[in-house]
Amino acid sequence: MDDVEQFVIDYLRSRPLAGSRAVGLNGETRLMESGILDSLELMSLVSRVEQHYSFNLPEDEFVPENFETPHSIAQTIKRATSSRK
Amino acid sequence: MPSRRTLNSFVSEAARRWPNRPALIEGNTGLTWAELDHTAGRVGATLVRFGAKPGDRVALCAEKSIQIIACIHGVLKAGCVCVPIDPASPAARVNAVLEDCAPAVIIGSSKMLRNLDGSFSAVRISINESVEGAQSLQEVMAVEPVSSMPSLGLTDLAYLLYTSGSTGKPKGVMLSHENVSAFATWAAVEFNLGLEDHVASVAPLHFDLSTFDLYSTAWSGAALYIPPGMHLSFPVRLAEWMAAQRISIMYTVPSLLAMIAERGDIRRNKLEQLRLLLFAGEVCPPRLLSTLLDLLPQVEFANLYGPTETNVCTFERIDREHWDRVSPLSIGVPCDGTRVLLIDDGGIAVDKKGIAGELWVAGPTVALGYWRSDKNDARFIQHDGIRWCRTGDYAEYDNDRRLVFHGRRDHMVKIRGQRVELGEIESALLSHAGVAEAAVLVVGEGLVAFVRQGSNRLSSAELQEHCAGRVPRYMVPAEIRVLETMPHGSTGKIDRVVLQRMAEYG
Repeated sequence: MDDVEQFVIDYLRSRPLAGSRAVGLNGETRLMESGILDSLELMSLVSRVEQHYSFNLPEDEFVPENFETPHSIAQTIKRATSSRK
Repeated sequence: MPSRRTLNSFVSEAARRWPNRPALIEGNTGLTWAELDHTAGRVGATLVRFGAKPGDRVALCAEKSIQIIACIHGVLKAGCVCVPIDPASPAARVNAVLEDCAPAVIIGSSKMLRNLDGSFSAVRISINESVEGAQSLQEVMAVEPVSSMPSLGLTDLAYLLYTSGSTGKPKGVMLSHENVSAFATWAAVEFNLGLEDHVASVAPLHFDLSTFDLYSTAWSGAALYIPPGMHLSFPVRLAEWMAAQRISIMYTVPSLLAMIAERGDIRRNKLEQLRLLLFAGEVCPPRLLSTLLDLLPQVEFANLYGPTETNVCTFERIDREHWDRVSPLSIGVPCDGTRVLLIDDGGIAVDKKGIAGELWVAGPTVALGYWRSDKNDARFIQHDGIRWCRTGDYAEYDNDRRLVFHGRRDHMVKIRGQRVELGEIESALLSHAGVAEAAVLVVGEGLVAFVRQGSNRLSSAELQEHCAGRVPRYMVPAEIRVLETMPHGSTGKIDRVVLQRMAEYG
C-alpha cells in the first residue's frame, strides 16, 4: 500500500460514522456498497484530497468506477496529479 | 386556476387522454400512462382485497423505481394514505414512523422487510424479491382489478410526510388530496408543462418536492424519468444522463444544483433540452445562481418557497435581465389562491418594506395539520375567520413588495434541503446513557454537538455511532465535543451563544 492509498484510508477512518463500518477497511473495501461513502461523504472526500494534494479533480475523473475502493481512489489521485505536472 | 381533482384520478385521467404516451422511464424500461394506470389499479385492488379501507395508512419504503411509484398511485386508488419513508433511514427511525402512523400495509424492498421489527402486524408486500411473510409484487399483479374503488373527497387525507421533530420524534404532516392537487396543477400551468416535456425525478419520495414529479407530470402528460440512484452522487454522470434523456425540467434543492454546476462538466454536457430549473428547500446562494445563469443561458429558473406544511406557497421567477447577481434571492409573491401575512412579534400585521415579520400562509396548499400531535393549535390558527399556517419563518417586503426570507425563529435548520430539528439530534444524543446534557449548533454548513458527560468517559466516535442508529446520516454532527461542564445562562438554559463562540473559534 502506498502513501496516497494510506491517506485515503486514514481519512475515511477519521470520518464521523466510520465507526464499525471502518473495521477492516483496506485498499479493496467497496466503499459505496459498505455504506462508508454516500454522496455527502464523497463530496467531503474529494474536497479533502484536492486540498491535500493541491489539484483539481478533472470532471471526467469524478465517476463511480474511480471511487469504488481506496485503491481506485488513490490511482485516480495519482493519475490526476501526474497529468497536472 | 384549473379545477382540482383528487389524486387517485390523476393517472386514470392521464391514461384516458394519452394512453400510449410515456409516463415513467427508468433505464431501458418504461410504462405508458395506460400501463401505469393498469399497474396501479392492480395494486389498489390488492389493498382493497387485503381489507385496507379509505384513510388507512400504507407505508412505502424502498429505493425509487417504477414499481414503487406505481404502488403510490395504487395506494391512492384504494383511498389509502401514502406514507413514504426514506429507505436510507436507520431502523430505529423507520420503526418510530411505523409506530406513529400504524400502517395497515407496508410496501418495501426485500431488504427493508427482512430488517423490519416483527411486532408490526401490517400486511407486507415486497416490491422485488420474495420475502417470508410478504406478498411479492408479482403476486399482486396477478390480482384482477376491481371495478368499484372508493370515491374520495378533496379534503380526504392523501399523504403523511414525516419531517424532523423537535421533541426527538419525527412528526407527520397531513396533506389532503386538495393540498397536493392544488400545488401540482398550479405548477403544471404556471410553468407550462406539456406532452413534450421530460421531467427528471431527483427528489426522494418522502420529500414534498416529489409531488411535483408525480402529479404535475400526470396532470400535463409529461414523462417522468428516474435516474440511476448512483448518479445523484456523481454530477458528471447525472449531467450525461440528463443530456441523453433530453431532460427539459428538473425540480431540486440548490445543493444538487451546486454539484452539477461545479462538477457536472456542463460545458461539455450541454443540456440543450433543459428549459426549466425549479429549486426549493434551502436558500440558494446568489453566486451559485449567477454561475448557473452563465452555464445554462437557455434555462428559466424559479425559486419556490414553502415548508412541508404549506407545500409551495410563494415563488419567484428569476429575471435574468434585472437581477444584480449579488442580492439575496427573493422568495417572490404568493402562488394563485394563496394569501400571506407578515406578523410582527406584537401580533400586528406588517405592511411596510424593511420590517420583518413571521410569514403566515392561507390557501389550498396549507396542510390539514400534524398527525396525532399536540402542536396543531400552535401552528394552524384561525385569524379573521381564515385558517392560517404559522410557518415559523421570518420575511420582509422589498421595494417591489416581493418577499425576502430572513431565517427561522426556532431551532429548525436545513441540511441539503432536508429539514432538521436540532432538538431531534439532541434527543438522540441524550438517549445515550452517558450523556447528561446536549446541545447541537450549526457552524458553517455543518453540525457541531456539545455534550456534558455523566459518570462514564465518552468518545466522539461512540456518540456519532449512537446518533447514526437513530437519525438519518445527514443529521449526525460532523463534530461532537465532550465537555466536563456545560455553560448556562442566567435563566438556567444552556448558553448557546457561548457554545457558538466555542465552535467557531475553537
